[in-house]
Amino acid sequence: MSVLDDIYNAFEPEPLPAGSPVYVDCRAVRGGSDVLVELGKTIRKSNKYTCQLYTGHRGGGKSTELLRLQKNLEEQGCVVVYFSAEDQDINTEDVEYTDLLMACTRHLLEKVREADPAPIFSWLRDRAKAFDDVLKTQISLTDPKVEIGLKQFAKITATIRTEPTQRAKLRELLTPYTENLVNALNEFIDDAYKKLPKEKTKLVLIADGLEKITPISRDGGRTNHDEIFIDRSSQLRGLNCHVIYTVPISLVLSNRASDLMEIYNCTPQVLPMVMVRSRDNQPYQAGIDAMKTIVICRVKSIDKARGMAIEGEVFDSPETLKQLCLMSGGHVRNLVLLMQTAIKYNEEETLPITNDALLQAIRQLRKTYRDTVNDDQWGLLATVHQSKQIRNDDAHRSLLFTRCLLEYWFDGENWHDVHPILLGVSEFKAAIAKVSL
Amino acid sequence: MTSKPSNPNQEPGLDHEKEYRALVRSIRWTKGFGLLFVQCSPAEGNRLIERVREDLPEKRIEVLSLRESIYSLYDVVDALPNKDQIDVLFIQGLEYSLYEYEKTQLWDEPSDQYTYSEKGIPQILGNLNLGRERLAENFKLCFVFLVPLFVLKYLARRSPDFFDWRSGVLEFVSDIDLVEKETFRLIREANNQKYLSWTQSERNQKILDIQSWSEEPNQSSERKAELLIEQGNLLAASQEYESAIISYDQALQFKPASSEIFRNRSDILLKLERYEEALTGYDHALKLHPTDYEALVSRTIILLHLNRFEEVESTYEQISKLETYDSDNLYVQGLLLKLWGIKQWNRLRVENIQQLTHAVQLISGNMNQESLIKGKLEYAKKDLRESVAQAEEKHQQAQKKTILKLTEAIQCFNRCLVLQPNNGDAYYEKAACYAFQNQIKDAILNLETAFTLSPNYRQVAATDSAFDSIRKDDRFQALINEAES
Repeated sequence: MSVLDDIYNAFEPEPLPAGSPVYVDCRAVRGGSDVLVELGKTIRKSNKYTCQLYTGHRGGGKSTELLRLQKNLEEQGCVVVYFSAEDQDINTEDVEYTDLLMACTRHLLEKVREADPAPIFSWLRDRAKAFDDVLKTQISLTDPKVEIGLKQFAKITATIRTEPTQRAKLRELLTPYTENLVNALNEFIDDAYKKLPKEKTKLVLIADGLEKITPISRDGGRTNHDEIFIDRSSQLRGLNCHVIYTVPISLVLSNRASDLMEIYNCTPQVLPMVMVRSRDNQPYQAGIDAMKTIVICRVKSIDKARGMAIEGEVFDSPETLKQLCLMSGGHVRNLVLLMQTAIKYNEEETLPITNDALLQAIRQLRKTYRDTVNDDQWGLLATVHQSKQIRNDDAHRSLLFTRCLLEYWFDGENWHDVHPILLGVSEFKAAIAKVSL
Repeated sequence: MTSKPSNPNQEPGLDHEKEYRALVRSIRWTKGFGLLFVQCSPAEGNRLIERVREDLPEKRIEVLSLRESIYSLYDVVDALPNKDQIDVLFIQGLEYSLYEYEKTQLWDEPSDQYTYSEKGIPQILGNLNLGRERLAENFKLCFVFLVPLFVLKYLARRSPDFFDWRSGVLEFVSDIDLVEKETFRLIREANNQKYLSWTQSERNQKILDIQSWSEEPNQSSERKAELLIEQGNLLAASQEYESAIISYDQALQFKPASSEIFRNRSDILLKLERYEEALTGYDHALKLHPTDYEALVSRTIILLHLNRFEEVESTYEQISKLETYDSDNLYVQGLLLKLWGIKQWNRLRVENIQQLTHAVQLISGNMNQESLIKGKLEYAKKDLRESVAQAEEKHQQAQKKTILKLTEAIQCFNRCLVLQPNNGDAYYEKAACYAFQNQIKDAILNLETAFTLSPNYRQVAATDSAFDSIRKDDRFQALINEAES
């Protein structure tokens, strides 16, 4: 029994650390997409500072890839500061680019100890004074650690922003001085560059997790993401080091995509799904094999399971494992989730994992996906399933965001399809019947 | 061992015990951080917690029962005194944070409310989404959220990255008896008057309560319709008129032949002054239920407002044929009569004045002509006298008609008061009827009682045109200006 619960814990949702033995290279079946090539090369080859955007479906393996990139860059003479944006840094409803810059500042300060934090500290002191004068808010900067001061500062501004009367004043105070923050930050970065260890020549900042800022639509078809990444791109691009920001997939697919390309002078990198089915709805063996490998690697990482036959001892039949891979839609997170769920439903509580257990797991995931589809979206899903194409509008983007629609790459082209697990939902079947008439 | 290849699109059913065993396994096998969601009613949730406690005695289980809205789950968990000694944390009441959010949002479109709109985000969900790593890093325990369906839908849409880290969503559908029991309770406790006296927060809670029960998979169409009607009533009481209409429309999908729905809908249209649409609705309602008293009266009030007097007459005939012993019906009937009486009076008075003016003009026109001979003058004077007499007679008739109506109105109010002795509104309206007839003593008496029962009527009376004829009277002034004791 303990083998099963060890296996259960081997299938966790957290991203894999770089060099993890259970990492599986899926490049071939993701359309050849490789972050090391796309993002990394740009950094290595450029003498100027670069600013790149990275995105992909939630749970598709972005953070894992970025951690791999971090390790790779570190091996190639870069100092890499990787951080994941948190609820402490950012208030989703009210996020402004200043929050983002401050989060970057805070993490740079924490990780690059050798550089002189003085310019940032004096910026902070000036702000504290201004706050005191105008907003009558005391920020005591007795703590020598600048990042603590910054954290306090961020917290106070967040609190002030929740009061509508103060919000305007705060904006007045901060906006002109954010230029100064960028300058102060750049002074700090320039100093950091001077003090890099001999073998390191570049400084890279990876800001992960920004895609977790839930999109909020504003008037005129814009979103809070537009406001930060597009309206404020000059500030975001103004740092004197290489930067990679993650962005939500909906931004890259929106009608602002061309704006993004122009502004950031790059094509935002998208991490697609593993292709488990071809355009003509047939299982695609190479993709299925890649997914199988992911499962097998994780199972084999458990000592007690190492000697077992995958199809026979771990799974009750080859069909069960195949179904698991197909139903995931080529989405790593879903694969992991289905695996954990199936293990839970295994009545015997020992290996093998039965087909019944898998069916229960599929039922559960199917219900969750079904609950995520609004009544008026079924027709759209049916149409996409037939055409394998999407239109670039809000309705389709929304479904991509919830992963009811998935993106695949093959032979240099991208195409889209409904998540396979939705095919069994009665509303979908009805919609397909209607569309086929 | 090979099993026959089964069709993955053929779904196994939901088995309560199987689901429970899966829940226990999930909790038992979680090492470190874990995230589970359980869709269930609050009562079912409590039962599950007790069972799990019994079945997993080796786990240190805590329950976090939220009773009000929170913004940061991280902070709440961090503040728990024994946070480092917990293995499993059941969390109930996340829905309160969403009630609060729905209440404070200012939606531009009514269809954005209660529909997981992309135009805003409850702060707790935004924080959960961004804070998932921090939560997982600092709390090595199994989080089990016990939530209703609409919270899951909110999480999946507005906190998708947090939701994505789940190891599963288990579903415990309340057994049919429980669904029926809870639904029946909601419907039985329904009371429009009560809704009006509640706070907005209480109304919002009820609305969301209704939503979760109406979404239960085992819910019958009939019940769904009834719940949606109550939802509409609550929204109307909250002055969310457009949303209320939407609810009624939804209810119609499940119960298309319901006169109650058409009537409630029209009541709102009436409030919104969309008279023709309201009339259509009342007509529908009456087609389905020809003796629907409220629909008849409301319809008549609209016709009165639109000055379609013949139709008023014929509809009122129908009303008077129906015997009613309902105090609300009687009150409304009284109102109708009062309105009718006053309107008629005003209309006839205006007509009268017009006719009189016209006559005077004609006569004085004639008088200015050269054909003014003494005889003609007498003749003209006689004409005038006749016209005035006619006018007086008409005036009397009008008065009589109005008095009749107002007297009938007072009778209705009295019958209402027999059933509902403390109805301040009825006393007020009686006073208005007396005042209009210049019966000052009776007016004052009833007004006094009205003020005692509902003091805010003092202000209303100060500007109500029904009291214009007695406004200058000392007694009236004294009553109005009496300071609150």
